Amino acid sequence: MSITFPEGVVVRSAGTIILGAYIAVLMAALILGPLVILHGYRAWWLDAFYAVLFGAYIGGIIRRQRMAGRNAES
Amino acid sequence: MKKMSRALVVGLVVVVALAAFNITIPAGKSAASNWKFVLTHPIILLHVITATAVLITAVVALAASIRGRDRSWMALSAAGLAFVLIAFVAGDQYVMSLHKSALNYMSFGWAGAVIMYGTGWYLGRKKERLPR
Repeated sequence: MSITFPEGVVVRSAGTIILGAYIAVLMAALILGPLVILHGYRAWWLDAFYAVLFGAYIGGIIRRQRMAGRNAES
Repeated sequence: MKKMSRALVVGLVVVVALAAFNITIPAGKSAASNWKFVLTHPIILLHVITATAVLITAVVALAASIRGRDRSWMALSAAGLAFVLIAFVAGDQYVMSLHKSALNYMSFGWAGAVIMYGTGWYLGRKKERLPR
């Protein structure tokens, strides 16, 4: 009995993790960094904006992973 | 829709990046001398120029959406322009008064505009993928 290693899933996930890290670095450098420098304090609208940004980021990662899986199937 | 939203998001990111050098306008002076400082400081001047370009592009985006009769894009570009205007007016107020509340309104307008045009960018991409 042989166990097949799910290479496709691993490769796809690795691609998503690398892309996710790249986007996270870009977001931190271009958006979060400047905002933290400008506003070194908390405000409800800043928290709301960070939440929207984080939601879009997570949504994008899930979407990318699902799409890669769908493309591999077809 | 997609191209214009993308250009506006990139423009807005550049605008905030140019304001992130922790440059402090000397306090206790008149509004005219504050503006003189802004217009002679290369980075803040670039921030103002880029913000003006973003404002003009936002107006063009709204006009294009009205001509294109795309309702979702019309709503997004109108809301985006409103947020850009809030940020623009707050920026002017901040230079004149140096009040923290004006800085808050400027960033609030900026964040709102990023969300609006970011949504426009996403919807534009989605529409492009749909089969014709």
